[in-house]
Amino acid sequence: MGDDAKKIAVIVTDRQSEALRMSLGLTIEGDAISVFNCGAPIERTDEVNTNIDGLDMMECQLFSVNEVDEGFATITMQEIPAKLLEYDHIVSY
Amino acid sequence: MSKLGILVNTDKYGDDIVGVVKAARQAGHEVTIFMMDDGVLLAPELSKACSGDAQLSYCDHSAEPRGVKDVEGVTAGSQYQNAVMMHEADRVVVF
Amino acid sequence: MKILHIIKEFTESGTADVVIEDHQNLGQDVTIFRLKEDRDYAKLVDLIFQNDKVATW
Repeated sequence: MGDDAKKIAVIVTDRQSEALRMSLGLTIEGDAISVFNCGAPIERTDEVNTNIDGLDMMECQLFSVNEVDEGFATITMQEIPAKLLEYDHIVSY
Repeated sequence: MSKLGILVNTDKYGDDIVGVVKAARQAGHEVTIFMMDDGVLLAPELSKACSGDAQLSYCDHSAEPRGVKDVEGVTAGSQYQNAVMMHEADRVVVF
Repeated sequence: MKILHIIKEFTESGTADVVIEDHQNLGQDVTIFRLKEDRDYAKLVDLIFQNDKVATW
């Protein structure tokens, strides 16, 4: 990751598959991407799993308010606002 | 000159996007728009209203199943254009 | 830190409410711009660049 890497937070509340596809795409320029799932548990499809695997491979941070979201670190909704202050861009989906 | 990135992922806010683009250009900012998901449905409208004021692209993966193609003044691209926009923008808004 | 929260016309997300309230409680300098009530785009663009961070909901 270069010195000019940006920190980007993607907030997922709906359209999970597209949000995750976009998140993986954002890694292309070497930025540090974190995903916060604030909505329903992630619906696992082949495409979703592929994108989550890719995000994992790119060392993105994955957080979810749902304990059942495998591969995501559990976070409470109350912890998210303070964390968002660390990011250059906050992108809600 | 500061750079504004606009991610368009719905088709609900065409008027707001045009308003922001015009105001940003008036204030001397550079504007880039990337459309994906249902946002690609705004490509013809934004092309007409903003092509002289903003750099426009869309995700072809979203456009193709929605029947959007060959929109004048809009680059048919991929998530790469979004990554570049986010990386280079000073501020990003989402519509 | 100066934070701008832009609320779009059709946003129903409770997530935005939680984040905005917490940012206020954390002592951040929070500005809320509701597009349903105010369409002064020149003012919005000024706010976008005057604030350190922007979140659109």
